[in-house]
Amino acid sequence: MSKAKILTDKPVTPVLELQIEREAPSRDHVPEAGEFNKKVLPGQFIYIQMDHLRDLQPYVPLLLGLESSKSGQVRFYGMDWHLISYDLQFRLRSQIGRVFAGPAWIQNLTVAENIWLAQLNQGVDRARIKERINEWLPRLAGEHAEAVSKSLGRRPAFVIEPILQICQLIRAFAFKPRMLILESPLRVLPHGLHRDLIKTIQDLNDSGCATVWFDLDRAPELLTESMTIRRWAIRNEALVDCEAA
Amino acid sequence: MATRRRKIVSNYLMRGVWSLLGRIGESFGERCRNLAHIMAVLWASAHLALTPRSWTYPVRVMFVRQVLFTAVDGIPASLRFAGTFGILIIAQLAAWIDMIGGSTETVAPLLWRTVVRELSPLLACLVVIGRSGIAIGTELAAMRVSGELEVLDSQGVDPMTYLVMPRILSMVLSIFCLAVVIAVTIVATGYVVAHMLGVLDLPWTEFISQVSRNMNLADAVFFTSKTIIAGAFAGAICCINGLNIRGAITDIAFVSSRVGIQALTAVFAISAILSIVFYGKLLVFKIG
Repeated sequence: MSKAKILTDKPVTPVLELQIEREAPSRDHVPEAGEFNKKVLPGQFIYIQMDHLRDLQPYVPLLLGLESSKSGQVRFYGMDWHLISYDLQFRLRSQIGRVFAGPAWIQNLTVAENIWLAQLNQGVDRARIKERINEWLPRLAGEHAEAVSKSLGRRPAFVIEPILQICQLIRAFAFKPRMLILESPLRVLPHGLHRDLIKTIQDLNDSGCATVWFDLDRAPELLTESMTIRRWAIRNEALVDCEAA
Repeated sequence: MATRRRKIVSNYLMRGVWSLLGRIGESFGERCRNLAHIMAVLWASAHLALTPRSWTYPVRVMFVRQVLFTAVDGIPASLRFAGTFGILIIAQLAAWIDMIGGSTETVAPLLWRTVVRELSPLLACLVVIGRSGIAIGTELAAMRVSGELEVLDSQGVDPMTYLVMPRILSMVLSIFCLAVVIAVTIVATGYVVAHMLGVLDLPWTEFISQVSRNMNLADAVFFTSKTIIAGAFAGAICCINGLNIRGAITDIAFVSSRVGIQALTAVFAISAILSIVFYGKLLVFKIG
């Protein structure tokens, strides 16, 4: 049965619902001003192109419910981040896999402890966590699997960036996320792993996980040729739907 | 002309008085807000600590690490300080006997009571704040500046449960345990030195029974509540200062110095308030 067929059979709860009132900057006329009212359905892939890495700052915390929007709301699986209990907020966030462009690690824990932390905190069994990591390690690390294994016992400050990036991917992907937030995930990833990464994202999307990918460049060809993507952008600090424009 | 000048001077004076009152009011308001903030953090920490669901594996590990760092690693420093204080106490004992002409049996109980009631909790607070409190403030400030709090938050790990509650709880537990260690060490060192110098001629068993005869339930309640309240406030102040940092990595040094001073000020203030509340006295003066 196709995805379109499933969507028509019964109403699907959107993974994300965004209702953001965009303020027009005072300096000039801005076509982006107005309300940004969009939904992200399970299995959808959103590619958001931005001008600067600093554009991540207002939007990623907003999607994760870490900051409230002055004018608007963000709902995750129908629940407004700011109308639910803190406890539920944390539980829901643990179901979102995030690959950070900036600081991504607790420096006084080892890389392995960092990967386990959120899952152990949600009461997932240690053996189960190890099993998931062992399952995802060859899939995401490819020929670097041995180097990644060796780095797991070290603190992040002593591990090189490409290996840390693979570890970030394992942390984000391995525990059945309901949504992925990827901030320039290809930036320091070894080139040979790009195709595997995109294939993995595709598999996750097919299983109902929504993906929001933020990047500075246009969507890489590898991505556009293998997946149907929706394009948004951050222009003049405002979120816009490129396809609607 | 003179009247006008007087009026101007009086206006200036009034303005100065109002401005001073305004500043005092602002400062008082600021302190009240800080106190409310500390109480809120303590309430939330107590609530989390009493909720079994909060004690996940990472939180338990964090708590054990903090207790090891704050209490266990603090024992050698506590023993050194307490040993030195034991010798000082005996020097005072000898001096008091010379000065007021009393016997060892009359002066010693007063000193031991001072040790248990006041000195050992304060010394424990000094050791814990100096060794761990400042380190906690600095560590949390560094985590905040380097974006690690957002990393925790984004993954669904509550920084209040994972970082703050175990640290406050470990400070409370450490101050209580180290205060016991310090009190016992001061008394033991004092006895050994006094016995060697011939100031105290009692056998050890008699000495211990004399010390314990001079302690009552009120002393135990006072000792326990003082160490718990002072520990909780010191812990909360260290965590709040660390997490409230605004700015760059260079501001962390400022946080470290502020943490130490604020926590020590709070501990001394709490000691004084509790002494007044429990014994109705401030030093030798009867209150009420």
